[in-house]
Amino acid sequence: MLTNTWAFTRRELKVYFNSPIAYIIIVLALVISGWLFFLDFFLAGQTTLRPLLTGWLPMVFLVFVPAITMRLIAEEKKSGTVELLVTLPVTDWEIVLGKYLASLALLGVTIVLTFSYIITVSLLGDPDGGAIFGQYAGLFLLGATYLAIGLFASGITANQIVAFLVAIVIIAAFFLVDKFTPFFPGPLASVLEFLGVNYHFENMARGVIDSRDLLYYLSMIFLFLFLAVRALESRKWK
Amino acid sequence: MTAVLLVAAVLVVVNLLGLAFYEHWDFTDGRIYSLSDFTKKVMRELDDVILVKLYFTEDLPAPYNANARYIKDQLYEYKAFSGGKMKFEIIDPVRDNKEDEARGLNIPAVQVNAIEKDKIELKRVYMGLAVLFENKQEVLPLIQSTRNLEYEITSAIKRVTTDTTVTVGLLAGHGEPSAAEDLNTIAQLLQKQYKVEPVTIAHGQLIDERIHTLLVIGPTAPFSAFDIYAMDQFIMRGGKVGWFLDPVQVDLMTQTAENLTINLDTLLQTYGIVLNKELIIDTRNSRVAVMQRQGGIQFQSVVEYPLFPEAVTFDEGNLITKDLGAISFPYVSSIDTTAAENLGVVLKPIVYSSQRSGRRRAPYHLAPQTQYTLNDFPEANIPLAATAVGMFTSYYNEHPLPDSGLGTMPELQTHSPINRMVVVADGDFMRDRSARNPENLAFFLNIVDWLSQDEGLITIRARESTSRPLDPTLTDGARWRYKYANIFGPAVLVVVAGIIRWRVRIARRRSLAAAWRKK
Repeated sequence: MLTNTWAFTRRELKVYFNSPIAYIIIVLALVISGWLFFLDFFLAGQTTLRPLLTGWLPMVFLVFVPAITMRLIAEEKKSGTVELLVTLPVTDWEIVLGKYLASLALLGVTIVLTFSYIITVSLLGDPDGGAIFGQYAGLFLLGATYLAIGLFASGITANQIVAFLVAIVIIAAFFLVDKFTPFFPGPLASVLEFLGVNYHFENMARGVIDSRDLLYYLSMIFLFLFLAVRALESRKWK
Repeated sequence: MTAVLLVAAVLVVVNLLGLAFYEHWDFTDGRIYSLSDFTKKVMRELDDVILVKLYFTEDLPAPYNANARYIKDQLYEYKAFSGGKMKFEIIDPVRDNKEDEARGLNIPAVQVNAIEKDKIELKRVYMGLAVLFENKQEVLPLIQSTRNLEYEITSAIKRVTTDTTVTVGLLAGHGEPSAAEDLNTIAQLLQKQYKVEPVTIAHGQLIDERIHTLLVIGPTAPFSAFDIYAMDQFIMRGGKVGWFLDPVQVDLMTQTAENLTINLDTLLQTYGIVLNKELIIDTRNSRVAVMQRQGGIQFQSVVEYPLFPEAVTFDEGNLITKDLGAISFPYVSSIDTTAAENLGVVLKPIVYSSQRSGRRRAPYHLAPQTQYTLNDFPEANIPLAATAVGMFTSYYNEHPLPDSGLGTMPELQTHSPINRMVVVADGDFMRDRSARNPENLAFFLNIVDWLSQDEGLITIRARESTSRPLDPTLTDGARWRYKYANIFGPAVLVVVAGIIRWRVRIARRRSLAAAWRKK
């Protein structure tokens, strides 16, 4: 299982890094989020990365993540290689997981590249390391959840643009759902709030890690990977 | 489809189980979000929905922006422990058009300096919080520091969710002022929150157990042996006492002062409290108006009066003196802090004299015209008020019991539970004639609150400051370098890595092609 998964991961990583697309996406994400962050960093005068890690990057990820994932399955469907894939002696889970891990690696690289900000705030003052750890952990889980959603969106269509747009819509729905809680009665509002990624993210961004938030993210990731597997399987029945 | 539903159902169940059994790790420096066990207990025991409304302006200037962030974060923490019983709303009164609502809750708009478009401007902002429960509300009108935020929020929640009103007694019968005369202002303020009643010790009767907090304000007549017994047993049973005592009695009419003996000294000494029989003089003081005569002309002038010290040095960590301005004491003595050692009582000064102050012993010269030199003020930080916390030992462990007049006495309590008292070496600062200084009233009310609060609230610790400022010496050039290094540095790294990989692949392709041709 592991070797098969790893084979897919390596293959996808090669595709990412052999084309200019990945580099362009990463550079754009870094430059845009960095630019936005520095708009008021010196004015706010605090050694915190919170506006970047919990404000701008999640916003940039809204577009960045679908751009990474849109190709993953849709391309195979378009070019017909998916027929080949499903006849290989590998399970659908191995295919999906392999592709997912490749996109996760790309996300990881992007996030690691922002570590220059940790150095910066450490040089300029005394930041709260625990809070930064929580923010990075939260950002990674948020990105990982988005990627699972993006992968699912890529699995339901052979058109990359459709996959991209569907991913943005679903991610935005989970990103914004807690903004609408004031319009719902109490118990329903609590459910919506729990469903939204933001509530859990805000919680972690303080530097407090709660098993409930971890469970939420892992459940979301599992659910959408499962749905992606189902989307891939569905080819077999046609 | 059934499989999808099954997986979704399993995930819902797993998450619901996760809500019941969870773990929570605070990674921040100083564990700034971790709530005390008491707060967690209060939140778990909520039996109805509590609503916390945060009236905070968005985009507050530094350093208030860090506070706003922290308060919101701390409220998440409260919510996490409330089992869904707490809701909170964040309102920007200006943006959301809710200024009237804020005003209705007595949350004021305040002016702060803000830098906008590189200019310093005054900005009107709100920084308040309201706790609403059923038909009750508690308000923190202006949150400027977050050091004791947990204490303030939890006590506000505790106040709206509990119905019992604490009874505060004003001891009478030894020449103390009463609510009707001289304590009018503070009695009215206390009645907003407490049930206030006079307490007279009747011979043979212990102080009523309903009295939670007993205030002993400026007694001038001696305590009888039985009064001492009643006070001692009140404390041994866990009653809270605020002592506001004048070791030196000043007669304003005759402008004379003398040491006062009212039999309390040995009682207080058993608890580790000793008041020095002296008057403090301070270079930081309130001025008084005096009539002066010069060359046959009488005129009024305002002079410094070192015997009216103005205290501005406080124990910053203490809730009683938190955020206080200057307390003015009309004649004040001092506290000997060495007496509590070896008694298992922690005596902690909370109010001090200034950096240049001194002591005056009998005979006292009160005349405002008295000339002082700097040599009269050799001492700094003389303790004027203190808290005492610990298990106090009964006076009667070492002294014979008094005659109760009844023959039978309730069983003697020889030790108190963990208890607390406050002692201030002045019995006048809260009286109506001194009430012109609102800081005096705030100080007094804080003492009563501290004595009367739930035991659990005391266990809430203060937090370190949450503001983590940038190096203020940063030059514009350095800022520029940091900014562009961070925005473009990592991006350049990515581009370089891409180019290298590209070149390597081209080189490899060429060598492969060359190798192919050779074959």
